[in-house]
Amino acid sequence: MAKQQKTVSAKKPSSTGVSLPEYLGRNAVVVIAIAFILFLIDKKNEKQSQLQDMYQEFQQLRQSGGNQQRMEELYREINEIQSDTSFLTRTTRGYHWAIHDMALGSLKSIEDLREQLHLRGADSTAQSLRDAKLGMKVGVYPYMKMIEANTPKDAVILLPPADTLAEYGKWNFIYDTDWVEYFIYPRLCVSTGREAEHPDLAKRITHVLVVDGFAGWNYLKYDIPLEQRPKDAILPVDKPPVAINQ
Amino acid sequence: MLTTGIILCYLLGLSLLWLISRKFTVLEMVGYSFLLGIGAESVFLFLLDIVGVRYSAGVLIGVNIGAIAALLAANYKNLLQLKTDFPLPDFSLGKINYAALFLFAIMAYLFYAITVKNLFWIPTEHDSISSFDKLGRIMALEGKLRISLFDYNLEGAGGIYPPLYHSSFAYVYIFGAESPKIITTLFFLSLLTTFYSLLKNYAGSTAAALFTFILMVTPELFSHAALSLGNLPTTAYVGAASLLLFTWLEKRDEKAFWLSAALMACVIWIRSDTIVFIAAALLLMALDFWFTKDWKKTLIYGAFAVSPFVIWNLYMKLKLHAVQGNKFDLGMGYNSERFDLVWGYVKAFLLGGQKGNVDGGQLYGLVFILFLLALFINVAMMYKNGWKETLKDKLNVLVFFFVSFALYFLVFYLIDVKVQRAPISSLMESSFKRGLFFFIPVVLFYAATNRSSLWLFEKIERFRTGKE
Repeated sequence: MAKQQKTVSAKKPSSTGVSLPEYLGRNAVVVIAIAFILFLIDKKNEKQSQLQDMYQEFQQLRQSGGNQQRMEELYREINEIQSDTSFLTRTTRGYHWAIHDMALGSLKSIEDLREQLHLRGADSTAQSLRDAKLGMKVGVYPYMKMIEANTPKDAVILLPPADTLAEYGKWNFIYDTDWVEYFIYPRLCVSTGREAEHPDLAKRITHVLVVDGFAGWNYLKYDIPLEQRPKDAILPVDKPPVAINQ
Repeated sequence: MLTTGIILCYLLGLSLLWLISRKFTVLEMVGYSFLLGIGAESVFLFLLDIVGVRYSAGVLIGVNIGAIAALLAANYKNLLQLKTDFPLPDFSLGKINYAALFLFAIMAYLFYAITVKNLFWIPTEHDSISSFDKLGRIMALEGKLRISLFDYNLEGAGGIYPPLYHSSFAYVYIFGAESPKIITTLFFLSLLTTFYSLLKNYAGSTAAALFTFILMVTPELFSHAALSLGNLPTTAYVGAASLLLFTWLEKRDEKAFWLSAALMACVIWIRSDTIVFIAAALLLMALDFWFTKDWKKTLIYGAFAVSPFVIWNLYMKLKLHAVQGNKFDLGMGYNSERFDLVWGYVKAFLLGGQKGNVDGGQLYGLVFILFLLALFINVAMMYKNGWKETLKDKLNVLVFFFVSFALYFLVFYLIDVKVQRAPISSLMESSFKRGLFFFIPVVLFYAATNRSSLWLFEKIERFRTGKE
């Protein structure tokens, strides 16, 4: 097991072996061969990243009843790309996405975003920049800011139930105590329907978060008529806020 | 201030590295210094928590300077020889490897692009927000590892994870970082530099650069270079520790032994499910003991690899009062439905196929296919080389891969979906998928250094240099 095995000599080329032009020529051949293989793989998958744009254009044309000839062209091209399920395509298209769409594509989009943020004045302070970036990625971030602005630091917040805000999609974890805690610390939180996971906190709830009309209404020690119930709010448990009292 | 913290982390790692040996290249120093340095910083944060000293930049600067000075002083005589062991690279036109240079240029640009993306966005991944970034940020605010959220069961699933990863976040927050994502970039850099350095010793710089490029652009792994999740950092540790172990077993390079042991300790100090790699590494060391009877090395390696696991479990029990529940359904036995499902996903991941929402080719590209192809070629070449020689070819790597992968498979086969509160398909498409990162350096190492590949690279290298 310990026996040393054959390895490639990692020694650098000796200038006495071949002349410098020959050495450079030989290296150029290897470089060109590598570049050629990378180019072929890249070219083979070039159309994959256009698929999304083609879909969008096709859908737009279909809805608007636009250019029939262009629609047929797009249909043919989409079919052609999708029918390429060869082994090489399947195992290399991810590289095209990773390099072109994810890494290089982001250089341009980030440059544009930086400019947008600057024009909005969002980059004036570190906190405002952080808020702006989180606002772009986290759909429910305004609720987090609302909690932060309207509750004391020792508040215990009751979050709405799990099926709230389904349309917010991927980053909607407003019911998830572990997730929300990141934004509202040092305030604490409990989730409606999952009080048993945090029994001590469930007894200490000070505020109820109302999101899109969903909330643990029964925790409030006062009654809010159905028609007066706010859509989005953070309500103290003990007494109604001034706006609702009026 | 953040720059000070990062420089101190590197210097601490470098001091530790030089304690092992002074014979390292610049790339090795860059890669290993960070891995060792941030591992040591997490140990400092752990110990400060134990003795009740509140974290602050001042305390950490003091601890770091003290530790670096002590390490350099202890290694003083050795370091006096450093100049003779540190020859500058030869950049004459007739000696540069242009093929490797070409690949380095592409990698440098891609590294720049992904780093711009990484540093622009602050963490928004669910696991980061609900666990790692939250833990790191609040550790820095409260000045301790056992943050107040443990009292309310609000620490998140990562709270019981060993502390290296979230401590690395805490470390940069303590030094004033707005976002912890510089950590991702530094781990990615370490992954690439250590992989290249280790591979170069076997396959030469052209092949090492080519396979480092393949490692770098593995789609799913590359996307994590712009995220703040623990899988990529863990890959950096598993990759370096395992490849160093192979180097020790094959070349008996003393520095590879110590470095592998230290990094294997970090493997289990960053995630508990990496126990599968510890088991595979210990098996290799046990087999080595069988042949060499070197009980000292075996015991030292075992102590390094196992002690962090024991220490963290004690800390969890005594300080966090958290006991990991049984996550496995050990009474399941053979369940053909579960087996077929898990195996179906494994095939999709490894062979570039599709299963559920998984497109293995899109996620891992050619990585596992190159490994299986190399394995197939070597088995097919058995008639030429003889079965003994074929079996010996990188046997350590194959044993490590197959044992750790079998255990990893078993973990997901036996996982209790009721405890996890997620269907097995969902676990395979998320946790299992990301866990496959850990195997990438090992399989690419095999694909590049097996007998057939070495034969091919030898030919290319001879052509490139004109040496016959």
